[in-house]
Amino acid sequence: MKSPIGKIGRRELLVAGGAGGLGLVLGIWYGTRRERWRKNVPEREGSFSPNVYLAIETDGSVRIWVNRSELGQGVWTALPMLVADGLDADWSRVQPVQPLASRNYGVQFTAVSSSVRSQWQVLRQSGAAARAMLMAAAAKTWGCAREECATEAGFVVHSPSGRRLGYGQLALLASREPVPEVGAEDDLPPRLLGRSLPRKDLPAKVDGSARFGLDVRLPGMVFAALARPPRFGARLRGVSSRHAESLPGVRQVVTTDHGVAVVAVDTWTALRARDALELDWEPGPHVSLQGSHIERDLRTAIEGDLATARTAGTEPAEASRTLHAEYEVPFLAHAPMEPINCTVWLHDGRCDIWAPTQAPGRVQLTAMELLGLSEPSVSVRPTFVGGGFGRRVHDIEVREAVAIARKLTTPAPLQLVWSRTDDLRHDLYRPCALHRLTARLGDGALLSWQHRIAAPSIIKPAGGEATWVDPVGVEGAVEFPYATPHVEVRYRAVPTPVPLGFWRSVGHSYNAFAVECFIDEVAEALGRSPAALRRELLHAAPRHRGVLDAVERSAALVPLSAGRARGLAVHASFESYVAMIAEVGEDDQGIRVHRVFCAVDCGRIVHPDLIASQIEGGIVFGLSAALFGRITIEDGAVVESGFLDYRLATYSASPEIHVEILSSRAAAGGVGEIGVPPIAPAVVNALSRLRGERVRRLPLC
Amino acid sequence: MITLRLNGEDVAVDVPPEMPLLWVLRDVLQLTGTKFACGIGACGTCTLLVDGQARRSCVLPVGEVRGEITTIEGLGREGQHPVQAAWIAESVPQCGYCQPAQILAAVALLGADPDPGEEAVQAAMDAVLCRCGTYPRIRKAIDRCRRR
Repeated sequence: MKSPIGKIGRRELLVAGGAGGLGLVLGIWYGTRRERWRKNVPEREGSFSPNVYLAIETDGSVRIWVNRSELGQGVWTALPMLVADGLDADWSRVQPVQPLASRNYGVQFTAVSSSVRSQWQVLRQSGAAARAMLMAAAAKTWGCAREECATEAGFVVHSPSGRRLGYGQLALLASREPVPEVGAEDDLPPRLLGRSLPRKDLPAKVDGSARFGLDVRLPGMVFAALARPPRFGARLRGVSSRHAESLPGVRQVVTTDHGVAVVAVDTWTALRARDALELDWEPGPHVSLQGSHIERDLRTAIEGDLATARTAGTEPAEASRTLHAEYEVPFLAHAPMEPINCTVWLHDGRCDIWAPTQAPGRVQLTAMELLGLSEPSVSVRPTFVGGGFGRRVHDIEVREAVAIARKLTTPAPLQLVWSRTDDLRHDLYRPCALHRLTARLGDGALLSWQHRIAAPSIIKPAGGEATWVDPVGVEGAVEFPYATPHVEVRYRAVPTPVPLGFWRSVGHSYNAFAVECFIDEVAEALGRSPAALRRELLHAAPRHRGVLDAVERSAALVPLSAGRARGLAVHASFESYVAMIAEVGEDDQGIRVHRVFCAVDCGRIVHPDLIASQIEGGIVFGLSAALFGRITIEDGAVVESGFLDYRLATYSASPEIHVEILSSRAAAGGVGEIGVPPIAPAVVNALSRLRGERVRRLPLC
Repeated sequence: MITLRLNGEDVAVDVPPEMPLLWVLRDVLQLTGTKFACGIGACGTCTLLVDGQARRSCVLPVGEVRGEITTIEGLGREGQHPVQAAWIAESVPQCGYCQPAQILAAVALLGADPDPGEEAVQAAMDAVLCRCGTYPRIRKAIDRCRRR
């Protein structure tokens, strides 16, 4: 299978029978040979190396190692379902296992909505290979032809006689069978796929037993809070820690390259003592940086030379009308509910890390580099993640925690805790962006679409050459799906000292807003309905049209309430297609999004309810940004400090959401991020209609 | 020493009275089901029950606690609470970090009125933020628990 994310390449299946009380164990290696892994990661005596993927124990339970992080998107359910589907397992006997970071699991990076779509085939086939081995073992036991055997949810059944053997009973025998070639994807009949089976992570999440990074508790553990530079690029000149050190429970004050840390016996003492530090900071080179300067830089850039991201067709010689508009979006913070944290224990020449991370492999490499340790000496245990949204692909907190732990005079497990203010003021922000759009119209048609984007680049924060295009900076703009004789998309990376990071749906989060609002402006100028113009211009984009038609149908069943308006947006991202219609009202209480209708085509489906919940969540996440999200820069620092000035949508602000998932035979697309891009333009298109004037700037409140 | 009535047991802790209950639970008693998220009583993620009422434990000094404390660990100790069962039935949690607080806020709400009006639901549930956006399912789970 060609992975949309990267080449999976050669893979091998390993069979290890009998050891450690396990029956059949199947392991998969990605992209390299077994021998090379052995050299990098020596197998340990008396236990399985972590390159084990699927284990069937002799009691019939099935353990499936989940090589991605559970952020709430449901990988603890969806990925085991793919394996269990090929295996024909009894779902109630399936137990997900979160492995340590290890290259043996292939890519553990949980990002770009890739977990299901990049692993669909390899996971199903690994289950199917195990199933074939179990059937072969059963056939030998019964002395019958394999063709007479079938499976039924954890059992091999001899069809003519009705005899049955459980997978657990067959596991040891099966492990001696050769690993078979299994059929191509389309030959495997779906058994569990398409059903909303019970989520494996939920019981622990309702009884309080789920362990997030911040819940790691180890004997003798200490807690740290770090005072970071108060402005971008500020440097420490001096520190007086007398008051901080005098607080009962403070163990040590540590100065590192990242700032000054207080280490204490509990989190509360560490945070209080951190505030009692007297610190003298050199203001640094950006002390006079204001948000208005960044806006000015974007404006200067958009008027200058831009790199060509896409150009197709030729500009029309004559147009009867030209539309211009500018759309603007601010910096945004991730603000996951679980504050940023990392637990590090340096002992006996080793480093143990517990981290709520989207990138366990990167955390391991970072620690290896910082400490000069080899791979087997650095263990990274990914925990449940209390919200990722892209923030936890970054690993600053790991660097900070390792630096503090190295300076402990009495070695102990150390948990670094960021306060909410630390989180909002030291995040890696979604870039702000300025869009300038031009449409040329004639004979009732869209003749030309020109989209210019100026924005800081996550990939090149110091700015790019005038010819360089940041691929994630233009995603969602460069694919402009509407048919027109001329399309031009241009981009310029604008340098900024503001730290930047990946934020759920990345470039799509602001490009969908500009494109889907401006296409509404085009429709209005042409005297067409937003849906009719889109439908016409999407004649060669059947999946866009499919979701558009579906959302129109479901919205038509519910009459529009008086005093409200509806707005439409259609957007493709991560190989999936989403259309939304938002119903918006406004009164003296402010803007209110009452309903959102949504249609999704994300290809083949593992678990419909996981998709629905991600779309609902994406809508609420995107709504927080559209209504309230704004990070403000003043004097070279971020102003916002908590949930009072960085507001999130609440229960009562959350709309009624109708999600329709279209059935599709297409390859699986991404799901985790696709609900975010269309909600802002759908709401703004509705609001503009309601107000009778165009809104082109976020946030709305 | 401060004695607390916690999840049906008496627990003595040797901590300063101004220490927030949240940190006594998490760092002293190792009960990590009650979560830290803002530290200033703004987001409700640290919500627990004191005599059945929802309280924000990050701004509740341990020395001022009067009454029986129930945390998420104590809620289901005699079998799954109906609110927890409803949370599973509606597949409410995503990341799950705020869910102990959401569940306890709903328990307090339904304890005060088994069939609360929309305003009461909004007042109770607006007090706990969820970044994953599980609100539509929280609504359904609460409806499932109503006793009319």
